[in-house]
Amino acid sequence: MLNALRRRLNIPPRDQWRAAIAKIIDDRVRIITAGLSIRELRAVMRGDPPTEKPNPRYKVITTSFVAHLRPRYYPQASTWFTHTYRLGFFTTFFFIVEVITGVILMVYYIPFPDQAYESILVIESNVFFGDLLRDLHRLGAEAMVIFSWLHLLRTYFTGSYKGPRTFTWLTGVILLLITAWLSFTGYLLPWDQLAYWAVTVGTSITESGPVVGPALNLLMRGAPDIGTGGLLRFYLQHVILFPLLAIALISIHYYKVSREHSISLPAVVEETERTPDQKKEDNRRIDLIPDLLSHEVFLVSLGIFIMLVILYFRWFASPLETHANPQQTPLDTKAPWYFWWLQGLLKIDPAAIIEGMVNPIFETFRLGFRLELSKLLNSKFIMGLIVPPTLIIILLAIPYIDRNPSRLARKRPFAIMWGIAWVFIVIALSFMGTPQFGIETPPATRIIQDLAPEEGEGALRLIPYQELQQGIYVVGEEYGPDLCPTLSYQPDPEGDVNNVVVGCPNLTAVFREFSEKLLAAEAEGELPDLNANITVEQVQYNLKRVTPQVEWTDPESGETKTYEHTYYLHQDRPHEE
Amino acid sequence: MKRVQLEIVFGTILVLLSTAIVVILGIQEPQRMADFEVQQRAELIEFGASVFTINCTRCHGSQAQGITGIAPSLRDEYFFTQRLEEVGWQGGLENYIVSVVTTGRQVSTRPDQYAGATGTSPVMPTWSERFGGPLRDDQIRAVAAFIMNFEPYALGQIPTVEPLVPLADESTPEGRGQAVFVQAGCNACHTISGLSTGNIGPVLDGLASRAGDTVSGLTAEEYIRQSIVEPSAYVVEGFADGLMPQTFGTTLTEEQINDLVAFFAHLAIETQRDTNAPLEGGVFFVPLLPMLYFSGISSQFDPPNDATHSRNHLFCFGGVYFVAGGIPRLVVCARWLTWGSHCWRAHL
Repeated sequence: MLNALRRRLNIPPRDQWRAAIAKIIDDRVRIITAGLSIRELRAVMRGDPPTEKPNPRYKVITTSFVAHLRPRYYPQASTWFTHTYRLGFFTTFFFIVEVITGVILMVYYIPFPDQAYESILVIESNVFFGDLLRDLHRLGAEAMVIFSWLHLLRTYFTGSYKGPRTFTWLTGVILLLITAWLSFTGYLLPWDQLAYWAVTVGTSITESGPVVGPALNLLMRGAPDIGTGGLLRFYLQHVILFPLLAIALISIHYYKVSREHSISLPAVVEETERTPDQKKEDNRRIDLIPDLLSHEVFLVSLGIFIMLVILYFRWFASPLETHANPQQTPLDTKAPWYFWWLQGLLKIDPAAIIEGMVNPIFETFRLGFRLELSKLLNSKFIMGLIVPPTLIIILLAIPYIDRNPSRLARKRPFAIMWGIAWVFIVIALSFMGTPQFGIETPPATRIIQDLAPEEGEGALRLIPYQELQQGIYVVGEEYGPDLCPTLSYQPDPEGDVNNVVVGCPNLTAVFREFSEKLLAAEAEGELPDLNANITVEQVQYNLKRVTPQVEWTDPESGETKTYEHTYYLHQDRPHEE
Repeated sequence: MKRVQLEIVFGTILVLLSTAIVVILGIQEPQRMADFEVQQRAELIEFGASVFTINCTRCHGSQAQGITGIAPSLRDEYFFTQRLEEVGWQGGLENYIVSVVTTGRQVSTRPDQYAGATGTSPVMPTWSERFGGPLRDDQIRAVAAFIMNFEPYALGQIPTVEPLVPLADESTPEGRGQAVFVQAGCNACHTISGLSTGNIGPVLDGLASRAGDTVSGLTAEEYIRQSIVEPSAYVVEGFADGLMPQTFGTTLTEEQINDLVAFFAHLAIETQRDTNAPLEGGVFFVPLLPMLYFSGISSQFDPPNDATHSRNHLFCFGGVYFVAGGIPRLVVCARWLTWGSHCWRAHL
């Protein structure tokens, strides 16, 4: 009776149950892993050879969708760390970090000028891990820019853009441009002074273009000035258009590598005589499963760990300045550092350079006229709209310009020198592009701004609130070693009672520095008839007003001029230790 | 160990360390968020203080103490304890401030004490740029946060600190007069170049040169004194009678009034133009260059007040610059390709 039922339900005899259950589990696992059994999975994790024949690990690549995008194996030589430095891998890694953190940030961000800045404050103050997410997103963006540049340099110096990889190089350069544009569009979104003015200056480059320039500028900004329309345009480009383009191009770029031409072999392997043993080792297969995958998992965990360590120790923090103010142009607008080279280019005036070269010749030969190019050539148009696109076109065309078939560095000295020269040119241009370079600030403005820049910290803002004793401190008067000898305070109100600061060392130091700089400028004749002071006033019970003020006689016009800047300092303001 | 195993082991260790960092950050997160909010409020108050100083002190006084006849104090006990009840406002005081600043005040609630008595004088302008004012909403919220920060002063919980007297030369009547000009609140309504920007009453630059001729029979000093003590005796054309408080004769001491008169007379002489300067000048003319046309620069200069001809090309422009009566003047004329010409005049 029981046996009949067992037969009917197809239940195996008791001594075979174990094997039967194992088979059921094994079948399920094979379906999920696209062909790997439990035993095989274990062997993969332990780095053992395949347990079945034919090799089930290759079957995964044909059956799994995700795995089919990947190569079956790379030859050992093309995975040398000193050949690739994993730069392309990390660029992709940061792109994925950007997508994940970006999607979460999108939940809280509001792309509307009245609320954008507020929403960033909400992310910082009311979203759990909001600060971490924003920092990760910003750090990932900057890292992605760095790694894509390094990836490009690596490809250039190893000559990997040659032969079958010309088109891959092309897609790579376009991806670099997309990366740059993604970071630039994201730069505007916090809607602070930094963002607003960097993007205003950036987009104004297009305005100098002929015929379509103003229209193009209008198209980007959505209105003559960046406002609701402009922010929305930048936002949509940042979260939809360019991520989609990036995904499409990354797919093309990667598919070429994985399906068509693989990672390039080091030039030494490809073009020099190798011993049979070396050859064997060079061509040894590094399989996707398990070697590549385990390596990639390791690299991902390393990447995440390094990012978190950087953020944990506050070695990097995403900046947030005051709310964007279209009425007030900051003293210096900062483009993001990876665009300093472009800002440096814009500081060059080609017309003046040509005039400087040509006019002395004209004068020597007494031709009776001078070349006045600056009225004809718009330097913003040339350096902003002619030179950078030309450079990009040259970059795109490198595989077609460089017809040298060899990839060995010593057989292409010109290309290597050219590459190194460009690295230095870009560094030099970036240096020229720093806000301080080549911009003359009047001495009084410079001295006050050095003390307390419009945005960010500065010696004046770092004075502890307790030291700001009300009074007018006049430059040139004798005050003794400390400005406020009767003052004493406890830096940490909840801490050690005996830990007391006497006087106001920080305020005194700032005042000394201010006085020394001004008196030095007066001695040099920049600020004659100097009359300066720092006024500290109590405005509210926890708010003080500090006004450095400089009055002098302008050496050229003889007029009396004043420059002053008012700073309000609240007791609870953030303090960088 | 094989390479695969090594990588799995180290990868696992790194993931565990990363998790630890995230957990530690998570433990600190509520404190970080709270700190950030406190700091944010501090920065908002700092920002509000600067917005207040630029926009509000003209009527509400440099310390928000109010100016008799113009605008109320924003730091007294009445404002913090009874004002909401009087106007019947249901929300909090901070919201009330935001609301009033945003829309301004069309009809005075206390015309007997502050501006708005005659019905023609301005009460409080609309400040939000949404309704045509100059301020953004975040600036208005900052101003409200700043005013709210007066609360401990207003309720007497913390004694107020005497404000610093502005740096003026105390040894001369003019110097003392300048201090009175600020202390008495004259600067709220009257403009003196380099000192104040009030726009409710007449500009006082060059007052001494015209004060003697304004009312027959009165010397400049007598006229100035009369205008301070009895403002309604003579009202400058274009300004309503009753705008200026009538009480300065009693609130200021005789000495203060003397100083003020001296100050006005002194200042007016300094800003007087040099009428004996020789006539000098020059002419310039700039024709349109093909390069300017093709680079699109000449289309940057739209014809004035003409939307239909927007992005028309500037054809040429020129101008005359001359100094007459000690005042430099500039006349610039421009001609557009299809629109016509326009001239601008400027006194520099």
